[in-house]
Amino acid sequence: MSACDDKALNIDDCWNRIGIWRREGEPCPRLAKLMHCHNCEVYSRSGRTMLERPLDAPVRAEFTRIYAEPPAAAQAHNRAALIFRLGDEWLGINSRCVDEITGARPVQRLPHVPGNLVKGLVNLRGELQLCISLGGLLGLERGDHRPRMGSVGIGDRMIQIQRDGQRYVFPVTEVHGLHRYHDSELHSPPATLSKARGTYTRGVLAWRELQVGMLDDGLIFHSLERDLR
Amino acid sequence: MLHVLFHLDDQRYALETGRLVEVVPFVELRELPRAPACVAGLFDYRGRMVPVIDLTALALGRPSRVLHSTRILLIDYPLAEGGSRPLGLLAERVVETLKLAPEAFTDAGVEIPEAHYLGRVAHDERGLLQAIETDALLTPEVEALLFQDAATCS
Repeated sequence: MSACDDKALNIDDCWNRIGIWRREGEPCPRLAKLMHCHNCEVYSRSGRTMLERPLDAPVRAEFTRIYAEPPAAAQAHNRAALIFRLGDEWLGINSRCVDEITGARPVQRLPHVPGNLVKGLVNLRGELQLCISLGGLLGLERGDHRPRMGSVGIGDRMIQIQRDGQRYVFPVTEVHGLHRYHDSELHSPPATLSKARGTYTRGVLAWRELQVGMLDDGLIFHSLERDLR
Repeated sequence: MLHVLFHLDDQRYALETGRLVEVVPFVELRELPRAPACVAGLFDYRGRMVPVIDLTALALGRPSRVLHSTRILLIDYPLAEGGSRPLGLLAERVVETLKLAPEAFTDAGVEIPEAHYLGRVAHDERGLLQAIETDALLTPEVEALLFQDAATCS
């Protein structure tokens, strides 16, 4: 028996026996509440136990070689952005200011708040957060908000951004995920871009045959603070 | 604040991620003859020689086991005379992170003279865990030894 064998680590694969991947028989009583073994502590603990295996010499030598490589390759990407779609536009925002991505929540509209910037309040983990329209801030036309066939991300999300205690939530059409890039990959925004959008865009990044507008998060927080005072 | 957790035998310890640069697998180390037992050796981190302290050896007096879950926590170690240098902390069962508010920690009420690096205590649903203070990790002698040696090797 090799040291990598599950039995050597005393892992009971209950997820195959009574969990979500059982072939027959009564399910685990935890399953009714947790819905899926992914949500179960036993499952995640077993996953971590898998790492209690000996680190074999060839693997260790490979790790050693990888970490000894010069930093040129490692520093090729110095920034990370969350890429999402708002209507027809693909946009990116600095991942450092992204606090949370959730499914769409009901927005409680606020009476007597004019303008197209504030959408209302949303309940995120029991806290009311101000929900804004990023499209309203950037001056985007209302685009195609339907999920697209074969589109790459997950649809109908809300993104919470945060900086220095300022928190805002805004809905987006879909979220792709994180993308790493280097500053030198950014091109200046085309002159045809509308004025409001051009102001809030640090640059444009070519990504999967699409042009992604990288937002200037500092300016966005600054403008929101000013406009919502 | 985000903490990365590790174990000394069955006890959980937390390292605040503010000074953490990267979590590196247990790569091969170049041993330093005649160094204190807690000094596991040097490793080549992207062309730079970085000293590694074995936390298991430091606290328990036995070396860390060579497992996938044994990892090097690479931190930016602040030097007493200012500036900072990369330092690896070898620890066992580095497999999870935990968000803990600063106010979750309380004073342990016990100060062990040989282990000033053991800091405040917090608890969650799985029991107690203790913070590691990286500033108090190295004695001045070890600090002088490590970073003088590293400078001549790199």
